[in-house]
Amino acid sequence: MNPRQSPALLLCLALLGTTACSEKPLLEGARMERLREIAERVEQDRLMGLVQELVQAHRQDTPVDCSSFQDLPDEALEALCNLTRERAGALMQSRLESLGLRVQRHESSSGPFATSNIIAELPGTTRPWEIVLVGAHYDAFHAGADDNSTGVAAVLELARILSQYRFERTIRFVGFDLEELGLVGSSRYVEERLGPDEIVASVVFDCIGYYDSAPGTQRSIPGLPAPSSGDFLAVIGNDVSRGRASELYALNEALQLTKVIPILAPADGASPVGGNLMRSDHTPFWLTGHDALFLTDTANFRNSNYHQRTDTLETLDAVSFRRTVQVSAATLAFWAGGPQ
Amino acid sequence: MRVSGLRSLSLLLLLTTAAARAESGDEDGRVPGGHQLTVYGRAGAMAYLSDAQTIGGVGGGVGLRATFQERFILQADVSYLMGIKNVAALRLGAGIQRRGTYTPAVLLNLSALMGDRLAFLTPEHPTPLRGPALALGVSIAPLRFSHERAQVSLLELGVGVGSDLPGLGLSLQLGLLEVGVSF
Repeated sequence: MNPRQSPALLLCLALLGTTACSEKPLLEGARMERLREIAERVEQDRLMGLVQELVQAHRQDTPVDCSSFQDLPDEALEALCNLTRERAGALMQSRLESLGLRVQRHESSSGPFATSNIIAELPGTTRPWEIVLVGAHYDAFHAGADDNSTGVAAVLELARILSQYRFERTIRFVGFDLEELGLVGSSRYVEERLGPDEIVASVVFDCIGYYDSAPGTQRSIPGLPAPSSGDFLAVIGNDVSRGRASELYALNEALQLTKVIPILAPADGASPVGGNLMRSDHTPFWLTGHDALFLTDTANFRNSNYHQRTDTLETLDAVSFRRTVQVSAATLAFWAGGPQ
Repeated sequence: MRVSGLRSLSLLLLLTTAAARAESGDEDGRVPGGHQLTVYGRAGAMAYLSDAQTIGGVGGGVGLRATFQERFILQADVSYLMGIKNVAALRLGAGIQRRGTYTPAVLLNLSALMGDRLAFLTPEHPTPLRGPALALGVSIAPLRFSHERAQVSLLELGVGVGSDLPGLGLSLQLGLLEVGVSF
């Protein structure tokens, strides 16, 4: 090649060592039509039906024993004495099994509360040892429609759709236990079950169904430039996952699915101002150097029903919820190397 | 490259002041109509806020100031800030102060914040920003005093504007305490 015929090449050579010419395209290898096809298979009615079933399960369940929390303030005690998980977990397990996926329970009793994470896998074809993980906690206060039946429903709908395809990497669907008591299940999962290099990408859903486009419905914290209307999906990452956040953002832009605002914390995410970015099951992944994104409607920064009896199905925005699951479906499929 | 730039600036300040001092034959370091070199320490907060990033924090640093004819100021300082992990701040300032014991000042500042930040992806910046956040602004130090070789400033307020190329950012500075010694 004659360099004189390629000014761009000369420029790249001149800037050798800088990142501008060496960065790979974000969506290199993405087959956009197949990813769009996968996104379009997300069914809104099915999603909302799943949320309804999970809410019903929480309402019919027996709450965990809250006698050891009696010293807490009344408001916290009210929520803790209405924390349920058994029936929602059983429902999640049975739905995953009905898809033909290999499902295991990760039981642990290394602390004051025994936990039981639910793990299902869709094995990869050519790189099965590389894991793309998608998870949500299945315990909930009260009915727990937004927090976190929406997250569990999303995992189940993604399992239904993605299990109809084959991917290079293994996709692991996880239900985390006892997030509401301090990320107990996810912490034990990361400590006891996860190898050091197993995860190539992961997504955790927590509260992904509440949206409001009215001005003034979104609150924030100093330093986070959030819009005034709570009609976006927050994608929260750290230094390790900044590449995955950029890919999700680019995919969403390409497919025009929903309004996404990625927020990237520095380093492992832990900082004096970063506490609100570390409030769900992605945190144990971050703190052990794993790649994880947290997808959320921002919970109590938008939803006044957060951890209240009023966190019910009727408060959810089905269309925006479906779009969130759609962008997740396309992104997970891309990360998993497929569909084939 | 940043370190060598800082070294060059410090050297320039030192040489400028040394040359001026040599000309005036000043022994005391504070002669009306002469010049003065001051080393100072400062504590405060700095932040740069835009649609694509938030960087800054609370901390402190050290600087070097040259004062000419007791009125004109040329200074440079570096600070370490905490809050969003680790941030380094470099400020270059030029300004004017009142003569006497009560020496309020106003400065034009060029600041650069480097290091850890909260990054936000936008259509203009679909990947996280890297590199320093540069801003140009003004600051006022209304509670600033000088006595013999000592200088104290209890409050400094600054505001500025920067660019993420594309996109504008707002720079804010709050100095809580600055103590300097002239020589």
